[in-house]
Amino acid sequence: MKKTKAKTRYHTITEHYLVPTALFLLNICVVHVLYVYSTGKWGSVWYLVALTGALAALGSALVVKGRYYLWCSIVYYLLLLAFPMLV
Amino acid sequence: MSNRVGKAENNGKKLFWRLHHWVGLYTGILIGTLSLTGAIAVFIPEIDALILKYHYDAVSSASPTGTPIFGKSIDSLIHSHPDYRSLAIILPDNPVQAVRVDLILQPRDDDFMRADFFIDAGMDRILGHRDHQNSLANYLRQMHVRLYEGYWGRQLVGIGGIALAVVAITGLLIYGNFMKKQAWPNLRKKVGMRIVMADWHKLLGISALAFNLVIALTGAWLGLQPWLMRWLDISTPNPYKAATVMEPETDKALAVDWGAVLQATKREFPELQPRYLVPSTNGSGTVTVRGNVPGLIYERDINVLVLSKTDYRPVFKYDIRKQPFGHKFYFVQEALHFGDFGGLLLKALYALLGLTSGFLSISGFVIFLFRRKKKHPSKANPWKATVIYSLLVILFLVVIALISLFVGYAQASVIAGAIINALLVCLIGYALVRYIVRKCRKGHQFA
Repeated sequence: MKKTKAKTRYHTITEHYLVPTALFLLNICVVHVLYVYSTGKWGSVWYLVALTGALAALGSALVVKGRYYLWCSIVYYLLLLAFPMLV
Repeated sequence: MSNRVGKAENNGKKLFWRLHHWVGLYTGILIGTLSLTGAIAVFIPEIDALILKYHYDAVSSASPTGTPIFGKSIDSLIHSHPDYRSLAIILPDNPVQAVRVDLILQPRDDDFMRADFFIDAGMDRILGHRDHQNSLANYLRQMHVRLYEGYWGRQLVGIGGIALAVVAITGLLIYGNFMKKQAWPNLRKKVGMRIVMADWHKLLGISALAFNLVIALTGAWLGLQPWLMRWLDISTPNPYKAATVMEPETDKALAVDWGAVLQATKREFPELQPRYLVPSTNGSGTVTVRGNVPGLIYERDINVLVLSKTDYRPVFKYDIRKQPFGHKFYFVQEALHFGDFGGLLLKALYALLGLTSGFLSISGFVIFLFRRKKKHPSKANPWKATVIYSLLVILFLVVIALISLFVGYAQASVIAGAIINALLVCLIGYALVRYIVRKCRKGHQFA
């Protein structure tokens, strides 16, 4: 019973690709958030809230390790990174 | 077909693993040393400020005008050292800190001397001085930037950066192979020390991968910059040099109103936080003001305003925000490497994440030793070897620091250079002999 549970919990794509990607982006996001808070370079309060949300989303996605949650948090932070270039 | 693809993929993974293994093994000690010195180096300005405050009592009182006053002290310094080669006034980030004057002197013998003088910017008086070369701040910087090896230490550090990039990338490529049944961030319990260290190695390696990759690539560029710029024919951005319009002696004798210089800077370049004020001594009759525009991620003091010494009108202005991408990319490297763009908290994060590469070097070495012991059982204790190597590195850093602080920079540099080059020759020699012996053995086996 225990063995089956362990097998269902392990998901190769999550462990081999999504978790490393989320960790990679989390490194960048932590530095980004600290930079923005210390210099006040956020443009608008909404961007600051969204950025803090991205940090929380990436961190919690890594704790929960839900496949879709990881995907969403990764895409969300990438969009947030691209936002200043698009505007 | 799928078997062939699988085999090729396996061969690729083996190659990555071998690269990770050998590059890590041969450069681990260099990466570990740079990790430790780098974690301390991010705090150089803070450490130096504390030393100035508590060791030299170099503290500024409140200025009556709100702007730092140091004109009389500078005149007095120039008067007492008329044969100085160059002078730079370094304004502090905090008004309670003393203004520093970096004076390069030309004494009677050929060897020049570099001294730091401290000025109370409220009372305009000299508080003291120190030998610039023998200071702790200089030791921390030079040890991280060139391992105190003056000839090609900087390039060696750059090679360390490339090695870290290689182990980080290959580590990522083989990560999946080593995590077939293991989930991040689980650590296996009730297993041998090799497995425990391997689990920590994978956990911290993948968790700090992006940070270590940035540090590795920027470090490789900064270290190998002189070679790369020569090979790739890259010129330094902003090579501005003011034209010579008078005799150098006349230029040196021109009096400068530093208050007017600061006012002109505020007028011509309002966003600039002036940090370096350099009066010309070559006959150009200018004052160069270098500084930062707050909130930007670029090398320190990269924005420049050159003023005329006679009427304080701008002669040249270099605002990094208005420069092409190439200039911005060039000047972003050092800021990203040292993390001085986000306050003390970011520096603390940089130090913490920077130490992970040191831990990875040690854990990688421990894994290697335990694995070797498993293959060829012996009485040698892997921990003993690891502790001895780590202590030797710390001993090297401490001895060179003591020589540099209490004897002199030049002597420390000679000793450090001799040790590093001797170790390098031994390491390369060992690797070559080992390779040849193995090749010969294989040849004999086939024969």
